[in-house]
Amino acid sequence: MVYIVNRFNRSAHSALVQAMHAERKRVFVDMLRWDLPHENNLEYDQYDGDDAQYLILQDQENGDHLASLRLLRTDRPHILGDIFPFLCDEIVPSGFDVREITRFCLSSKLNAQDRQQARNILVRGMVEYGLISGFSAYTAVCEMGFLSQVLAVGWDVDPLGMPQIVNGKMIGAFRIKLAADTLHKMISSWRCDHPALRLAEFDRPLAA
Amino acid sequence: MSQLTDAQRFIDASREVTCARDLFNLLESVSREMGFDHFALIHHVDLTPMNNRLSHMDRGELVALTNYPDDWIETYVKRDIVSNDPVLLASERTSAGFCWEDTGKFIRITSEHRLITEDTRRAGLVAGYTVPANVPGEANGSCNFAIKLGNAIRPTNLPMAQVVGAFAFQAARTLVARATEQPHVQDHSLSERQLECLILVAKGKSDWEIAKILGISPNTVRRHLEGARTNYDVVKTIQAVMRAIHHGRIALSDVLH
Repeated sequence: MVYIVNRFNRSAHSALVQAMHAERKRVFVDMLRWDLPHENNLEYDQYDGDDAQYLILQDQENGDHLASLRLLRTDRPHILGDIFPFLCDEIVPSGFDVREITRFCLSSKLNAQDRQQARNILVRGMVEYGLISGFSAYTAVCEMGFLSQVLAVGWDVDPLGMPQIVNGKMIGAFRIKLAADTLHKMISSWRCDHPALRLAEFDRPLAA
Repeated sequence: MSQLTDAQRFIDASREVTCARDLFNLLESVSREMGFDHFALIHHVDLTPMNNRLSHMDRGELVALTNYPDDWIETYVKRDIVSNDPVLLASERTSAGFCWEDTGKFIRITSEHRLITEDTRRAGLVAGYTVPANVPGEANGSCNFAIKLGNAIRPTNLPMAQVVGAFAFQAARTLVARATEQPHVQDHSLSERQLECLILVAKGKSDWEIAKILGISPNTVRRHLEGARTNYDVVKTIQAVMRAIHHGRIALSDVLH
């Protein structure tokens, strides 16, 4: 199940959120060698504040973090707007209905097959969340190699500008349009056949 | 007109194509706009089904769309250069577009590669820019742009070539996939046993150890590894391991534990 974690229910998922920050350190700092701040083997930055929302896939059996991503509001400070605005040839897309996908992270301990499965569940959760929230699009900054994969999924993707070389890697900014048929358009290798989001998490705890 | 507007116009048009010929025409004109004389959009697989009528694409067999000189295409297919073309090999080892003169940054150039490069030049393709389009679990592919003698690559156009190349390949994949309903079948299919053996090799096990672990004879292990090498058309087992990782058949986590 994919949990939606935000500032309201974060404390109820503190172990899972902690595990996500630890995995982000392993994946982005240790494996991908991104130059990111980290502390006590946890990776977090200025965007992990109250406005951040997370979609986290949790192993139902042992509670482990399997995959996660962070969604940032584009009408508030976010990575494309603050750090990479030069990747957009025109104005940076922003608005309440546009969210930026950041820190897409698959657990490093998964084997290839489980990674693909975890990825597909998380991605389905991401599309579901976008649709039920009425988002019109997701934006993202990604490496060009990943672009071919994202295009292969079958979504409506548009470039926001010409890619550029930043710290030795060619990266670009893209927009994924969301529509009723976004889930349908996905190729089979990216598909997850069951709904992924767990909405019961929005229930407020009963007053004691 | 900005490059983004031009690229977007190509992308929008590429989404509307209904046959390989339409995509061919689009690519021909966008290549020219970017200052290139030729293009080749190909899956890195056996290209013999390729034909001028482009029926191989409309039947959904493979992506192969090019306006390279006819006799070079013929030579290229007949000599099966696709399996040892240094530019294509390099494109399987990097994710961003690169100029052909930089091929040596990604692979070790052999004397055979030098001959192929020489023949490519002689065929009229003196320089080029290649955009990798590798999707794990599928045959590798790329979008190649080339110039003829007397022309020069314009560096300011390369970011646009990168974007156009990636979207062009996706448009071609979509055409091919639609024709067969099923997504393109991967060409380097490893058997489960071959994969198991490769994973154990990646973990540093010897043939003898692998044999003990899997409960088969060392000769059988060697046969599986040979099969894996043949599948990827490589000489060394380590190359097969790297390919399997690149194709997403082996995750690094499979071999680190």
